[in-house]
Amino acid sequence: MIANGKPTRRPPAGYLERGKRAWQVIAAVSLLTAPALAPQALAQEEKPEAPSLPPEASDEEAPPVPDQAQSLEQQIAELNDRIAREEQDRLKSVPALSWNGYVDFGYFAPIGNAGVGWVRDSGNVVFPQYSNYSWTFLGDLLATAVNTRGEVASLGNAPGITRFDSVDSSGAGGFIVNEINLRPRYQLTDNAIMRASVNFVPRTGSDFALGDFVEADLAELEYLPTKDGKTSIFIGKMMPIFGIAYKERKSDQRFGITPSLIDRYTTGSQLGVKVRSKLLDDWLILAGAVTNGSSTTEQFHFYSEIDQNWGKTLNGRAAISIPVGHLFRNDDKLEIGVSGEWGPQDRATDNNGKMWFGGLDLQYLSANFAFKAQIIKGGSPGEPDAAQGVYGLQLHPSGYAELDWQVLPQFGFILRAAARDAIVTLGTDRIYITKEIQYTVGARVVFTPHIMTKVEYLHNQEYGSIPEFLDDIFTSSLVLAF
Amino acid sequence: MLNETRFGSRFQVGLLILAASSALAACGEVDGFTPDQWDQIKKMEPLAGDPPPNPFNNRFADTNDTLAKLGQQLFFDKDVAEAIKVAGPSGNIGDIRKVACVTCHGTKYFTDARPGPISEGISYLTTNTGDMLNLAWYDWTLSTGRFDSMVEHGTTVWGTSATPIAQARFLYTKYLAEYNAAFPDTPLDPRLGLPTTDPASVYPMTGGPKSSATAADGPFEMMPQDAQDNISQIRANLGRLFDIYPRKLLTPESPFQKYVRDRDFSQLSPKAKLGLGLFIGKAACNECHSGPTLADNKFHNVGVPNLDFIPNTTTAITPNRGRAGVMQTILNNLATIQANPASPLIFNGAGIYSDNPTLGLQRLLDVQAEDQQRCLTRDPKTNACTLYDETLEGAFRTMSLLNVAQTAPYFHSGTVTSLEAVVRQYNAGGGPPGSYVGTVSPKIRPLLLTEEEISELVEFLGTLTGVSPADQAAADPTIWNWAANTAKPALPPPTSP
Repeated sequence: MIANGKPTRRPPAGYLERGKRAWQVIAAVSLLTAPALAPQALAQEEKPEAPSLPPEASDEEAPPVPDQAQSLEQQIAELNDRIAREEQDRLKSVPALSWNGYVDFGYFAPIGNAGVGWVRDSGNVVFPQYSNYSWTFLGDLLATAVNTRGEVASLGNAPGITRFDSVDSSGAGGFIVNEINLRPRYQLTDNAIMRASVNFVPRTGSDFALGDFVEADLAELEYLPTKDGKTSIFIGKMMPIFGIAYKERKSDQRFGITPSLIDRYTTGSQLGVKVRSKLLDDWLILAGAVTNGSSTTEQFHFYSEIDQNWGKTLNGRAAISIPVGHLFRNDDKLEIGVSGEWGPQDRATDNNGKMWFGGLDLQYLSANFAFKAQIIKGGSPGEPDAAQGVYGLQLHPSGYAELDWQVLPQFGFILRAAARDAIVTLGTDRIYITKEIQYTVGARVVFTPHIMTKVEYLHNQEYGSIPEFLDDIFTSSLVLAF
Repeated sequence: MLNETRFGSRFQVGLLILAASSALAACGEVDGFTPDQWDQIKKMEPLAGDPPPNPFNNRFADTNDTLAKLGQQLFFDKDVAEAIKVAGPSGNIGDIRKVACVTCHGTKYFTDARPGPISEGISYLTTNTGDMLNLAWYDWTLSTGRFDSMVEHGTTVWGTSATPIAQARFLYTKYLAEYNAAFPDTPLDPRLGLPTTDPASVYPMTGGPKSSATAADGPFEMMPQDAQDNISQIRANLGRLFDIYPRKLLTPESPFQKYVRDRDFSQLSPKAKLGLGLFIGKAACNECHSGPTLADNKFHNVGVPNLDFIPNTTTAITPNRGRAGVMQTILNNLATIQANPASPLIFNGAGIYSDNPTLGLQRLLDVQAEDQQRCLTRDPKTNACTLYDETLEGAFRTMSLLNVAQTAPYFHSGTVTSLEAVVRQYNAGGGPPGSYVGTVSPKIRPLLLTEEEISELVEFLGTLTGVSPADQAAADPTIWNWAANTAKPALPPPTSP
């Protein structure tokens, strides 16, 4: 063999075959052990060297003999055992208990109406047809959200009710620790996981009492009954299954800051039992749950953590996940889902009135952008006696569309339009009439995987017969995650 | 260096955003109130705009002061009063010339400060005398809305002192010139001056139309028709007087009026401003108390306990049904006017004396429609409604809050003697169920006000006191003193027949 005019030594074919096989074994071992070794390797900043040829490689003409082949197979078996042991050791080295969480710090500024999302229809000038109610409120109580929790700048000074106004800014801008979140996770067994999520929320006290509170928004067991891990059974206080917004209800998960106008119906934790499964090669996603109450959030009128009635709420969602990758990127997915829930009214002591929600959702998920949309409708008759505290609801089709675009690894922006058309009543004491469109524009800067900051401007606009009033919000959030 | 520069510029941008957002947060605010709140406050501006004219009494606009001054004289003149039938603070049974309008409107703010029930002539008054200031903005008068304007009210209210014929004779005796000057087209009949012994006399000394069509004819019906018509015309003219005179009684320049109108924010103390915030916020008083007199001209059952017994007796007072109790009277008037549009005995806006009978009739028809809509049970014999729904049964007209700190006792029954007690009653969602007629309005619910908030609300209510007519005259001698007693000197004692 002549190369560059110089003679070279050509190894015999048998040697080459053996060499290739040995090289493959070493490569395979390296590949399998790489995840376990990689951290150390990276930590040492050592560059991987090319494997040197084995000494017997010089025996280039020697044919393979049975003993040698047997020896090699034995070595392979030993290596496989070693790989398996090291994999087990690696898994054992991962602690069963892990902690995640974040600190969410922000600054917000209400713009107009002292941070309150409603006005009162004094004397029922706008809606005389509701003069049989004590008080008529126009707008949206929760439209002036300042953080991911959905807390509003101010709940206002409404007659006939004493509310815990957690922010109570009186319309002033200010800094706020939105939430300190801790999420312990414990691997109970190979196929059972315990999770919890606890929020610490520092707020203003009064009369020497601390206003701070602790909130457990997740306390669940996830059990994976199948080997493929595509079916999960959840028990405890868990995330709902309605729609898609619940997946991003925490500060370190949500692209923007504030929840949409309809998130109050779909992102509340529920107590009960839930099953979720991916079928047909992940094309079909099914989820069902039996829970105490609805998936409304705890700060909304309807939520009831512990049932006061025997009936339970049935929840379901079916979605098709289509890998549409060819359009933009290979891992793009389009998911279209339909959700519903039905059960006794929250806070009711009987099973007579039924609360229900139905909705459609769509999300297109790409590597650096996502488009999400959801529409929901629902209702609940309420109770005629306001003293029972059971609110009635007429939720006409309401929803949102949101575009999240991570333009650069460090920078992204969000555009969202949401609408809510609803009437909420409490006996004949109070009626809330909402016809609200909310436009949200925001940006996020990711400094490191652990530090990101977000800003948002929310413009709330009333429509229909409801007089327009200024109740916008500027808000920001610095999320320090671990 | 580059990074420091970038950081510095980003930091500055951040500060700018914070500053801009903070500035925006306060945009549109007026003295700490949001634009929406200020809009609500503006709707409460006391006496905003000119007093609206009475559509049923506007033909004498040019001679307004002449009529008003005659009304003022009559308002104070007790010589009209016939014999007291039920003893009371003004006198004993049989006493004459003891009662006039001023008897029950005797305070600086033209109210009756005495807790009821009180007898001032012919019977016990079981309702607290309302004020008669700033009346031009009212649609209906008295706490029940018995009359559709002060004109109809004026044709009747003097009846607590004297009958229509006695009133006419009194006018002829004491105010002939003034009356004829005020009403040159309908002067007093000279026969009113004749003694009953005169063969030409057609007027008895006292009397009035019989109480119902089925009642036996009385002295009034026995008079010739022209004499009856004369008496009715006098009553109609008195109605005009007692509409025009009170229209002169305004109480401007309250601290709250200056606060809203002039944006003079020093007029309200910080505590009163907190009270104002409650008034339009947590207490939601402006659900009903809004507009130039802080009253919505509507009727509500606010759960005010009724009076139980006539003082020092075991005579129970009939529970006051409020608006429900006068509906049939108004409907009877409608029936009369529908049967005979020229009826001389109807003095409301639909009658022949009205300056806008079309509008007057429409308002009565609206009442009829309300009766049809709101009546739950009827008397099978008379078809009168015996029970209305909660919008009418036990409902009383929203009273003005102007000068409210000076107009105790409160509510239609006068059973509450302090503003703080009034606020407490509202804070409790009305009086105890069963102590009043009907069902409390849905507008009345427990407010959950704290003690401090009650105090703030009372403080604000104190800023609604305007300058009384007497104080206006005292401050400016060039203006007419509408609060002065301008009645002519008392007549000599009557001679025994």
